[in-house]
Order: sequence, then structure tokens, then C-alpha cells
Amino acid sequence: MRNIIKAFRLERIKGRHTRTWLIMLLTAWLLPLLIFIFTLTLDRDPEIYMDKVVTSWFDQVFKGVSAFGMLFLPMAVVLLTAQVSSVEHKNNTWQLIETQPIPKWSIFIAKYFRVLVQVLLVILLFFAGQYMAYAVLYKLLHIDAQYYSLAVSWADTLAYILNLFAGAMSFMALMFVLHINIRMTNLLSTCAIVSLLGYTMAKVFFPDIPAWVPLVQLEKVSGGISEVGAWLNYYARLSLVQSLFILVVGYLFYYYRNYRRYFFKQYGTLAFAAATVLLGAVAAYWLSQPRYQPSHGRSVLAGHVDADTEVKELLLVSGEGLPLAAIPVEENGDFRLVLDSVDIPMSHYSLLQPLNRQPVIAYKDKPSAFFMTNGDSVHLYIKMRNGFTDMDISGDRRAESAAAGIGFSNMEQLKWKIENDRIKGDEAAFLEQLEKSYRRDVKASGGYTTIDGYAVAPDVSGRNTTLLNLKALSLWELYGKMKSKSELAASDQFGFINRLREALDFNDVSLVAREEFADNYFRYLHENREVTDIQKPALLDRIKDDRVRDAMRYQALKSLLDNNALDDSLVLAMYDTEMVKIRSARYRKALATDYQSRKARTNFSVLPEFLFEDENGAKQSLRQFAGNYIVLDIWASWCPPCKANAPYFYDYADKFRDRNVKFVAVSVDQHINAWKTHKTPNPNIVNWHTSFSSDFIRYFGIKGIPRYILISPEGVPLQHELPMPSQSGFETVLKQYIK
Amino acid sequence: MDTIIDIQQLSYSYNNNFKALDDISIQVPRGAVYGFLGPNGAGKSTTMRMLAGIMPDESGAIRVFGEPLGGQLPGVYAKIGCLVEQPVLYSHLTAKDHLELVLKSNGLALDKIDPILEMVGLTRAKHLAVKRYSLGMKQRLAIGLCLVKEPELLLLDEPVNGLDPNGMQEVREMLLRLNGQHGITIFISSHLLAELEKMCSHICIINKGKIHFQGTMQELKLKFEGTPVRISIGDYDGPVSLPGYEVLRKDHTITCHLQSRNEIPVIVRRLVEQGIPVYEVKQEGSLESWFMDIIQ
Repeated sequence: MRNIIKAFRLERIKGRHTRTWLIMLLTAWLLPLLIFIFTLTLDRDPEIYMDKVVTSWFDQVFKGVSAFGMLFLPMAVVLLTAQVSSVEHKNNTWQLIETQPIPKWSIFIAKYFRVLVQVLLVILLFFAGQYMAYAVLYKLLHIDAQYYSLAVSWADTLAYILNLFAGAMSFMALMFVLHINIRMTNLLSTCAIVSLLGYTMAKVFFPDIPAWVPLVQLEKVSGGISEVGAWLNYYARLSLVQSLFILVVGYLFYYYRNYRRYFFKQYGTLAFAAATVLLGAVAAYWLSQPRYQPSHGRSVLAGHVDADTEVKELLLVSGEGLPLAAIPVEENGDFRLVLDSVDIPMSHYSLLQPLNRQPVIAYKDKPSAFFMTNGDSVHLYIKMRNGFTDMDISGDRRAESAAAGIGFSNMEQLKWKIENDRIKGDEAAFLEQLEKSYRRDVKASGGYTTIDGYAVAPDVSGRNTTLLNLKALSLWELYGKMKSKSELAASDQFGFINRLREALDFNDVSLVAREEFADNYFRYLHENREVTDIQKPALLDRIKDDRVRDAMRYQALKSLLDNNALDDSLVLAMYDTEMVKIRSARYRKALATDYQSRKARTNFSVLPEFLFEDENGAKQSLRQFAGNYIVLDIWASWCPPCKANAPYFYDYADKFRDRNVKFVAVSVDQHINAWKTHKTPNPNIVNWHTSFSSDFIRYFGIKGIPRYILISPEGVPLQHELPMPSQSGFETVLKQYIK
Repeated sequence: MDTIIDIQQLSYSYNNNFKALDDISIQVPRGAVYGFLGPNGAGKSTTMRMLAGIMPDESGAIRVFGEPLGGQLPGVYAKIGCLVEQPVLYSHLTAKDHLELVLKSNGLALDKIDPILEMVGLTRAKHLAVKRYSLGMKQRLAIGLCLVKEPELLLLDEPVNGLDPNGMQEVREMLLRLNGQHGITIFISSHLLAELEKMCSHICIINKGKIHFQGTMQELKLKFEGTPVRISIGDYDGPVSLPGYEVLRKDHTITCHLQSRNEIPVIVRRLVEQGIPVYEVKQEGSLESWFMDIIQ
């Protein structure tokens, strides 16, 4: 120990006049400085900020961490490790320092320790810089200050610092070992920095770079801290272990640099080296094994609601909106429900506030729904303030929930190769591409791991694979349409498609819960031809499993009820015959609301009175336009297709201004200000606003916008879903009524 | 008188074909100024490196202060000052920084910096970065770095290389003073005989990895006392016999040592009597020519 301290002091003497602090300051503060200048010069478009609610400026502080961790920090590591060994390489002063009474290992450790201290300083300086930049921006210059709470979470800062430091460890060890053993410092540093920059590009071509690559570890630790409350996340721990291994090997190289032959005569050292390599291999094997988030044994949903309004009850609903259980909330905001009696197939779930059926949604990067399955315990901390909700989830299956949307991109891309039943480009390579895309997607959907090293559970990745199988088969059928039978048989010479067919397994209810699967399954049942909503019920008899058939019938009826293009009486008649075949009361209950609203409109009764808000905040009703046709445009400022259709809508308002028709644009923006900035000044348009959870929206069963509705002078809805104004059908329909 | 450096039958080869050191044995007594003489490539630096522990002595043939060198590293460096080959210094540091570095690594007080700078004549340049130093200044600083830890043994590899005659003189005097006053044993290598002749108490001559002479200066001088003469004998190939004289024959030249000049005509007469043609008789310098003979 005394030796190390002595050697460390020597390193400090050697560090004189080297301007190391300049490297440290530059790498630490360049990014905060850039962010600072960028924020100052940013064009402050209110639109960007209106819908964006950042609850804490702390999130802002962490915005730069990713860029810092992937570029500036490794750059600092390269330069600092280069400096600490180039000092010796330059005039081969190794000889001077190694002929002093200090052991070689203490020189090695002292040098590494110096790098550690410097890198830690760079990280600390970076966070200090970030805080200072934002403190000046928000506290002194008051830029965007109204959007942020200025509270600081020191625990998160500490966690970030620790994870970044540990995550940089293996890169540090690698660079240190390379620099201390290779004399060509400049060449090595240049190569390192080039590979640093090249890494981002390499990721595009090689999406799955293994976790032991130090840059991957750096990337992951700068992406976030542990989600399951560990001090260090998986990549940080991996990097830490790996750095020790690299250091041991590097030290042996360093120690025996001048006399390789001698090394092989030292049996003790040889054994030590062999043991290290063996240990490294064992560790690598151990790390390569996937880990799954453990089941807690009981299905429990518990948590705390911290709201400015009273919440008495929450409703647990499945991903597709099926109500599963009501959860009473205690006066102090706690809730806890044992769900052992409810079947919870592995899927996304969310909570609703029963008062207006508004979902409890999460903001920021956190998932808005939580992943759960039988035997899981999930804890939710829900914060509701001024109409905004923030939800902290702990204990849910993070790998599964994060991987739910991953791994379908390659197959989707392949879909674009088919247009009007023709393959664009090289036809012969299509099957090969199909197989390749399939494999890539399967790998991506199953190979995902969280930052804490948890992999997707085999049943979930199996479900993803089934979905991919279906997608591959439907693409194959599209391809098959263009081929003769013999050609087709010849092209699947390796039996890829046959294997897919055999691997299909439909007896999994949680799979059917996904709308996407249901669609693909219907197509599969229909020999891979397009299925209309009318045809779906007839196909259900082919399904053998009762539960799956129930779920599929539910999906079929749901899409039927949502299909506004079909005649109402046909839909309702079909619904009545099919509905009774559903065994589960849960599905029947879930369909009831949609059914009621569909049925209500067939009565052609006069609309009940709905209240809207005008730009002055006054209440308005459609009744005042009695005697006029009313064309409603349901839109929002954040909805691109709404905005694309708006100019056509305004043109029709101008065109029909002399007839007995009123054009009303109803915005469902969450933020009144966003609506006010984006509403049209056109005098022929009436601008109103309503909430997306209002009675009006529910009456018409609106689930997506834009939506165009025609109402008669008597106040009876004539058309529930007009064609888009940008299409010619819009005018044709209008002219049928408005003479 | 005890032995500080004791090398017993040390061999070293960089590869299979070339033996850098072939079975050399060296004994350096305490308090000696030991000259290690040899031409370039003789194995001087290899020996030096192994003595300084920069290259490992696998066989354990080197013993320093009575113990095998390998077992004493790196603690023994507190007692050994080494200057191997050219001076190795940090170009961005000053003389003061260097001295601080060495003192701290030996756990010594920093108050010795100024006297040492004074001693090696770098007081004026003590705050100057080494990259601005001349070769001589660097050399003197390197020697200063060896001396500052007050070693018992100094290993100096060509210490006066690159110094001007004045500087050489200074260094020589400094080393002799150290040896005289503090009893420091000095092991010094050089390829210049004249340099070593002036300061060494012992000398060892090495060439092509082999030792040709080892002993005190007196022994060497004694061996070559008298008058060496070189006699050219044309293209005579027959035997040459001169009983009572040590004869070194090389091609058509013979060298032999006489007690005095007066013996030259006697020798020539005896050669002529044997029918050996004498073309030239040249009186040789001293040690120098013998040394040259060895290394050729």
C-alpha cells in the first residue's frame, strides 16, 4: 500500500506541465456548453412545449448523458490513458522509473489509479457543468422555467455517476492496457477515437454487437440507471468484472514486456495466467446465459395514488380494454389487490379511473402500461397533478414490456416490396430475403435484454415467434400468388416455409389478446386471403380451443362494431347472432359499450345536447344551429392527418357558405393553448373544443381522429363517418343532402 | 575486501545464433572504480542491463551485495544508481522535478536537490524543461539523478558520452571524489581505454562476449611494462621462435614485449639468423595497441 501511494505521488509529479486538466475540462464541459448555447439560440416555438410536460429539470440535466457517455467520456479515457503512458514511452523513461526502489506492480496500479481519479473527475465535472448550465438557464435567465420543477434528485445523480464510472471501467482498462503496452501512442489513440466515432455507424450495420464490447457497455450505462433499484446495472457490473480481467492480462504483458522468454519459465505466473484465462471464460459463459425476472409467487397489484383530486377506485383493464377487476383505493391513497382469482395472461395492463374512464397514463420514457402475468407482483406509484399523470412502476416484467414492440421491423420492411400483388425489384431473391428478415426479427424479439440484464421470458419470445411465423406465411402466400405450383415448390427447397407451418401454435390466449395476431390469424384461417369483418365470424368454427375461439370472436365483433363503413342494421344483426356464442362474460361485458353506441345511432333520434367550449371559454351547443346541416370535424393540433385534411375542410366551408350548412371544427387537444394557437381564423368555420373523454366523443364512439360527421337540420346524425375531405367522396356525400 | 558485484559464468544470447555474453565472470571489490572496457557490441550494455535488473538474469549468476540480484529487486535500487546507455529523462519536466521524483521514490528528504544541482552544475537551469537541455546537460542531470540517492554502487554506462573535454574532466573528478570521500563503488563502462586508464582502480576487458583481461590497473600495467615492438616479416610463413619473449603473431606481423629498447638489435639479429626477413621494426605505444589487437 505504501508503495502504491508512493508511486501515485510520483505519477502526480510526472503529470506536471502536461495540461491534463485541459483535456479533462474540455471533455467534461464542451457538451454542457454546447447544450447551453443551443438552448439559448433555440427558436422557442410554443407548439413544441405546449404538449410537453417535463416535471423536473432534472430530466433535462440527464439529456446530455447519452452523448457524454458515448463520445466525450470515452474520448477523455483515450486521451488520459494515452497521456499517462506516453509520458514513459516518449524517452523510454520506464528505465528511469523501474530502476528506483518501487515495485513494477505499484507503478502499474498507480498509473491506473491516476486514470481512475481523472475519469471520475471528468464525470463529476460534467454533472457539475450540466447543473450549472441549467441553473443559469432556468434560475438566472428564466428560460422555460415555467415547465420545470427545479428539484434535484441527488440519489439519481449518484446512481448515474456510479453507473457511468463503472460502465467506463472496462473501456478504461482496455485503453490503459493497450497504451501501456504499445509504444505507438499517437497511432493507438487515433485508432481508438476513430473506432469510437465508427461505433455509432457500425451499430447500423451490425445491430447486435455483443455486450462484452466496452463501447456497448458505455452506451448502455449512459442510457439509464438500473430500473430494478440495483446500485449498478448489469452492464456496469459486467464492465467492472471485465476490467479486472483485462487488467490482469495487461499487467502480465506489461511485466514481461522486456523478457517474454522468462515468462514461460515462471511456472507460478504461467499457472496464474492460465487460471485468469479460465476464470474469464467461465465468467463469459455465465454472463452469456439469459436471466429472467423472477415470478413473485402471488399475483398482487399494489401501490399508492398521490392525486390532487379524490380517487376512490381504479379499474384494472387488459391491453385490449377488457375490465378485469375494480381496485378500491384507501383514503391515504394506498391500494392493494390480490389477483389470484383472476386469470392474467402475460400482457400489457393498465389502470382506469372509473369516474370518466380516463386511463392512468405515464409520461416521460416510462411505459404507459405495465406488463404482468399470473404470479407477478407489481407496485405502482401514481402521481396526478393538474391533469398530468406520472407513474413509477416497479416489479413488472421489464424485459417483456420493453421487447413487446421490438423485432418486427425487418418483416414490415419486406412488406413494402410488394405492391399491387407484384414484387418490386429482384423476385428471385425474395424468399431468401424473407428468410433472412425472419431470422433477424426472431433474434431481435427474443434477444432483447434490459439494462439490468434480464431477457425476455421464453413464453413471450415464443409468442413473438408465432406472430412472426404468421407474418412470414402471409408474405409467402403473397409471393405464391405470382408463381405457378411447380415454381413455388421448387423455391422452398430448404423447407423453410414448411417448418414455419409446422411450428405454428394457436392455443395461447394471451397471444390472441394482440389485435395484430388476431388479424394475422384470421387471414391464416382464410387461406391467407384478405378477410373482411363480415367473413370473420364464419371462420371461427375452425378454431378448436374454446378459450382461443372466445377471444377471437371477441376480436371479430370488436372490429365489426368499429367498422363504420358497414351498414348499421347488418352489423347489429350479425352481432346479435354471434354474441350469444361467447362464453366468457368478461368479453360480453367489454363489447357492451361499443354495441350500445352503435345501436344508439341507428335510432336516427335527435342528438342529446352536448356542450362545447368556444375560444372565450363560454359553453356552446349544437342546438343553436337548428335548421342548418352541420358538418363536424373532430381534430387535434398534434394529429398530422387532421392537419393535412384541414385546408380541404376549410375550402368546403367557403364553397358552401351560402347554403344552410355550418362547418364546425371541434378540437380534442389536451391543452387549450395548443388548440388556440392552431385553430383557423377562417370566418366560415366555428371553432370549438371538447375533451376526448367527453360524452359527445363517447356517444359517437370516436376512437381515432380525424373524424367527419354530418348532422341534419333536425339534429339527427346522417353520416357517422364521412370520407376524408381530401378525397372526392366527401363532396359527393355532402351534395346528396345539401341541395 | 568484500565483493560487491559477483558475476559467475554468466551467459546470455538474444537468439540461437548469437551469444551476447559467453560465460563471463566478474568480481568487483568494495570501493573500487571498476572499468569495463570493450568495443561497441562487445556485450558491455547487455552486462550493464542485466546488472541493472532491466533484463532478467534467468540463471541467477549475478550476485550483488552478496545476494542474488533477482531476489533483491526492486529494493536494491535504493543502493544502486544506474545510468544505462543514453540518459532517459522526462522531456516536459524540469531538473528539480526529476530530482524530486527520484528522492520521493527513495523516500528521501527533498533538501538535497540544491546541493546536487550545484554539484552537476545545473543550478541555473533547474526550472528549465529538459527538452531545452543540451546533450551534456542531460547527461549531467542523469548522473545527478544517480548520485542523489547516495548509492553504495554506481553503474555507469558510457557516462561521458557526448560531453565536451571539460565536462569529461569534471565528471571524472566528481566520480573520483565520490569514490574517495564516500567509498562508493563505481562500475563504469566505456569503449575508450584512455578514459578508463585515468580513473579506474580495476579494469576488465571484454570483446565479443568474452573476457580478455580482469584485474587491477597495476596488474595490467605490469603485464605490459616494457617496450612492445611490432615487426613486419614480409611473406614469411615458417615458424618464428624467440625463446624468453612472449610473441603474438598475426599474419606477417609479430608483436613481442622487450624489457628495454636495447634489446631490439638482439631480436632483429636472432630473426635474421633464422632466415626470417625483417622489413620493418616499429616501437609500439602501450596498452592501447594491445587493446586494439584484441578487438580487431
